[in-house]
Amino acid sequence: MNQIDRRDFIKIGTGTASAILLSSQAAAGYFASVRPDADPVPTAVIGCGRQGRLIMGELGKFPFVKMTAVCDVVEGRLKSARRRARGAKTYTDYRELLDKEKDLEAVVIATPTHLHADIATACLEQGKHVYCEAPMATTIEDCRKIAAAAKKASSVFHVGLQSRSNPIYKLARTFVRSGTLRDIVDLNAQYSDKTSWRIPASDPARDRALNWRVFEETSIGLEGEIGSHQFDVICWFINKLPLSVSGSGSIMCYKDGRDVADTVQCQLRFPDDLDMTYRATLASSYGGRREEMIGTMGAVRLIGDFGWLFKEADAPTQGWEVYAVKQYFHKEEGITLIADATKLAKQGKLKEGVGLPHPPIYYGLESFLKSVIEEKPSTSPAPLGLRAAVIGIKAHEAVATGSEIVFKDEWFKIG
Amino acid sequence: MFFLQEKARTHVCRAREAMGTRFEVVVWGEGEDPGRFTLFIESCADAALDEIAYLDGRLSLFRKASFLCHINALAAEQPVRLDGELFGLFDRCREIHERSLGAFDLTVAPLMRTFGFHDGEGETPSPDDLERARAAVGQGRLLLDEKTSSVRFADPATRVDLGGAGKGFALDSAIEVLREEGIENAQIHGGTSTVAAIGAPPGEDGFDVGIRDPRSRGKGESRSLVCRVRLANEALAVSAPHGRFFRADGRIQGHVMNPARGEPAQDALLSAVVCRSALDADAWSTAFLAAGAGEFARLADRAPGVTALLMDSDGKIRIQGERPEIFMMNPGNAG
Repeated sequence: MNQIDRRDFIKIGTGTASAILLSSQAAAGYFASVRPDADPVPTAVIGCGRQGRLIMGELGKFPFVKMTAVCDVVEGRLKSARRRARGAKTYTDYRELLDKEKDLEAVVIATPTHLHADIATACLEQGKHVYCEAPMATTIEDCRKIAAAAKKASSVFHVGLQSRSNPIYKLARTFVRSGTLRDIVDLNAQYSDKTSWRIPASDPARDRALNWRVFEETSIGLEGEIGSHQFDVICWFINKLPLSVSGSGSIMCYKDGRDVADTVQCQLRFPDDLDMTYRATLASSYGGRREEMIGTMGAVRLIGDFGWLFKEADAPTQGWEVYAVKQYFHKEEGITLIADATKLAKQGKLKEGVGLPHPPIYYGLESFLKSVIEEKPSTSPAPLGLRAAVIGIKAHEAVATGSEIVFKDEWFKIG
Repeated sequence: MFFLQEKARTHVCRAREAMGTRFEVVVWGEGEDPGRFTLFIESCADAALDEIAYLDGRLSLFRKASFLCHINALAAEQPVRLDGELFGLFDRCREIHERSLGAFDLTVAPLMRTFGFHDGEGETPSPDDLERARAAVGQGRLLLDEKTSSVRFADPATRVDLGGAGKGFALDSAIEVLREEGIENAQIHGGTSTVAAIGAPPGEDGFDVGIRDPRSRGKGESRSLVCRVRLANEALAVSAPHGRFFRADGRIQGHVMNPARGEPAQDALLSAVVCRSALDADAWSTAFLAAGAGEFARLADRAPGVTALLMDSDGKIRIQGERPEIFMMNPGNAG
């Protein structure tokens, strides 16, 4: 089936979409409205590690996707990928995959970050639609290489800045953009996860390849791998780019031969004297992941699959909050941010809307596939990916050198 | 004269919260470079727990974004495609359902909910609610299609609860991760009710595990044991209504459902199963407790490779299966 037929299915589908939403299953989402017996998009996943596996799990929810090929250099991962994506062909070299899978239309790249550039450009040159995990790359040069290839290509290129597709984040942003917080005075984010980032490797050569995240040679650290997503959320919400970044970090817990810090702090300076504090650690799980924006009339707290709005006592009442679902954090009342709240409230199902029905990665993939099927530009294109990556790359430089780095405009340009 | 250099040996222990309980893994290792292999077995222990955390995210009934919740939200309206791994799990559960003559059933979720075990400590449901829930329960309402690798519910109120199988499945997967890394001695348990082992501790013939007497009121170590089990390359699962229960009409109403009667299982205090797979052990221990003492011998005959113990409501212990000696009774408690 060709692209146009698929689009027609979407048109047929959207008519029934509201019915499905009303009939209790907001979980069905956009693609539930698409007829499941249409020819699916042949899709490959390159990189079957932890992220690749999450992606495969979510891709399976889209009836419009058929995982035809998977690729990884580790045999064990290919074996489990084969078990999960039944019928998919397995490859250890992405070039061979691109050579042999002539019908392939879309590729999801979930390899180590420093390997994205070659793979993404090769896929784009062959006209494949590409979903590339964020950060896009570990150097500005590589980011530019990808961005240039994406510009030249007629296919969709989508960077996995998942928060930009997350319904709760999108809703929270409308509040922030419309001035609910009034003047923003403080920005902060954190990431705490008690996990070593170390993957078992019995021989030293394999160790370097598998544990790319803990070695300076191949990694941009917590602030780059995770922080770049969170910095991007803040930039997107306040519509500003940072002026400078300073940072520090140490190996506090895992003295196992790694040279990338497991505990870091960063300070990002934005225009109008606005500062963002960032801290991240692999030594503790306390507090988990969060992004916070604090204003004179309220604050927003986002934690991936949940979000809350906190209002000051003197903040103007907007009306809807009275009926909202609330949660209490010690002495503070958080108004739960619920996507499609008005619709759910009408059905008396507001409570069911608390928390996302899918993991955040789902919405990133959904947004990508929507662009592919509707032949529309990506909502998270290469220039945004470049921006987010540059901030992460420079934050890592600041942490690694313990210095302050002033951002240059030219870094954010494709070239 | 020369001395053979002895390999150094060590173990690491790691724990993580998942599936509403605590998982703990112990991995042994040995090698010539202690620094290297300690690092290696630590990363193996982490990888095993990562596997469990991943499956928790997929199979939890209490995480809205899990794949199980996706199935529960959608399968009454349309077929939901499963990956090979999940289809395998559902298919295995269907097989155990058939072998256990319906005593093990994935569709007990509506009963669990109506008896208040999903969001509390339990309560007696109203007759109307109970009738509605009973109508939605039964493997027949869970349609698996191998050709399309999908699942669909035949009743709009049918829901799946992997409570009797998810933990075991996660342990099997974690064991597989450890085996793939070449680990030869390890033990991993979920909430102390399901435990799986690779090999045995160095120099021993098995991992020593005790099964506590549900009637014993003491705390911790002082509680008396029903028996001991020495596990090597196999799994043990224990089910008991006293794990979570409420009292009504002077009777204990536990969290394990008898799917046929549509109410909490009544006539057994504890079941324990030893077999190769933790998933099978988990599912069969649930089945034996659900079916009760009267059905124990008949069902155990239909469970190949399974050795099982059941304590009936009078505290009498029965053992069935190929290796009854695996349950080592304490003196004075031999039933």
